[in-house]
Amino acid sequence: MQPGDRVEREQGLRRAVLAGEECAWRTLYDEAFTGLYAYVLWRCAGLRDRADDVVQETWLTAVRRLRSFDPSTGSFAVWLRGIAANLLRNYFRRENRRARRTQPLASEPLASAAETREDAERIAEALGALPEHYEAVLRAKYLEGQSVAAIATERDESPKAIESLLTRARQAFRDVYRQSE
Amino acid sequence: MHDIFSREPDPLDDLLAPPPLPSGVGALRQQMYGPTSRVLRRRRWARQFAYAAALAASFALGLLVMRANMRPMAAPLPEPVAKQHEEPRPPDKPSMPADASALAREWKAFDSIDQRGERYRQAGDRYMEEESDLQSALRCYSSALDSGTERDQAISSDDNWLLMAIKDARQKEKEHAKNGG
Repeated sequence: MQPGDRVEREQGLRRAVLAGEECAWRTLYDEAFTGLYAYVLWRCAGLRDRADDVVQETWLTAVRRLRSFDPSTGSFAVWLRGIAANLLRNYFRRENRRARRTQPLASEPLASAAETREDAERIAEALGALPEHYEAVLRAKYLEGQSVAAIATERDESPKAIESLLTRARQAFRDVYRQSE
Repeated sequence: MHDIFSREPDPLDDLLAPPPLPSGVGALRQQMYGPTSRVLRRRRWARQFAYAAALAASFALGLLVMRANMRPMAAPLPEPVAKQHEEPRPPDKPSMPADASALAREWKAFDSIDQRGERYRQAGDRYMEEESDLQSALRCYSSALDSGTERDQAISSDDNWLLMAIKDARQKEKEHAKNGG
């Protein structure tokens, strides 16, 4: 689909939803659901219960704030991802505050399921702590499975610049991840 | 295209790899759709209710304005209509106050163009009945017959004795003139 067609189509759907057309909302919802869920699950490092909460909250926020969605500045999927990223940021902020208030039980042996969950939380937290442009390039590479060349074309940059950006993003992720050990 | 990240495996790849989507994502999508559609429905009802309320308010306002405008006009309206029905003017009778004197009636007859004969006759009747002025009554009746039509010359049962006598005398004069006498 051409960018112009996409904008026109999403503007039409947005208008219809704001006029109360439920089938227009159903179209937007069905088309974007899987992509949003995959993104949130990746950001939550596979923690399903957390991903479910965030996705649910994202959709409720989206339907309440649809008036602020402007298709000419980005697609509906990108707009949704922005809402989810904000919700995840808030979520991690809350979690950190709560973790500081509780005493760590360092001497207690951890069960493997709990260790797995802790690992997942560390990954999710590290992803949430990255600057937006690092998170975006890692998402393109790992979640969307794009090649360096494809990312470079999409961003109108050279493959060398994207390789460099990916290297820095991975290093930043590694640093944050190790800090939480 | 040279892509170092696609050829060189890194331990971070496992951490950043997207987790597989759960098998029940379709059911989850259906489950999460419900609350968002309820938000839409509530918004639509609120809009319809606001529209209906605005319509009712404007209708009520219109009624109030209409009543306010009609109230001062209600009293004076029936008055001229009632007057018209109360006093129908007889088309065949010359208008004259009931207590007008015989002289006033004679002057009125003198000044009038239409119904002149009838007016003179009324003046003559008044001279006869109220003032017993036979001389004036004779003058008025003579003028009435001069101004009247051929039918007015004929003796009628409504005529008083003086008018009958005048008519009779005139008929005899006519016959006498006809016979060449």
